[in-house]
Amino acid sequence: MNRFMDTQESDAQSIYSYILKKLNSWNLAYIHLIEPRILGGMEIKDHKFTTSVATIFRKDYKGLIIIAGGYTRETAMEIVEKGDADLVAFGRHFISNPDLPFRLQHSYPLNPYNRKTFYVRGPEGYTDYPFYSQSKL
Amino acid sequence: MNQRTDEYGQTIENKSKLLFMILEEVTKVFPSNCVGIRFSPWTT
Repeated sequence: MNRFMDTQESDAQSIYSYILKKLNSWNLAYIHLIEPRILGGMEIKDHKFTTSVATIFRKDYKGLIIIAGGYTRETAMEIVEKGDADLVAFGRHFISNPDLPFRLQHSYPLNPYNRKTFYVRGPEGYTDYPFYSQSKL
Repeated sequence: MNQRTDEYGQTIENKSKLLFMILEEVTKVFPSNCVGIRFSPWTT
């Protein structure tokens, strides 16, 4: 379970399992889980966790689960249909697609994101990604 | 890695104690159904 030696609890699963079971009685708005495929903004291509973190903890937590981390339209629908998550959050695709929900709804292609402009000042990579109709012109 | 030897380390209950202390306080101000928690179980 330790991807990076000593950087996480060796018994992370038991700790989170314990926490999530306890949280059932708190009637919280949601629990938001992050997939390990994002680490410090870098996408993990070869991560060994093939099972979604939502799938692992769904058995412990019965409330609303939001999952995020490297999802596509297809995998997002899949995890919700399976019932392992209730909502899927998008981060990077939202940066490059101001109309992301519209695009996902209609299965339109997404603007690729440019990681180099993620954390810089100015409008480039921040407010200049085109809407779907604009990008078709 | 939590290597504490006080009441915030060693056992699962202790390691998760701070979270529930915070939750206890936060839900005194906001109703619990307005509070969400974000976890990265495999990354931190």
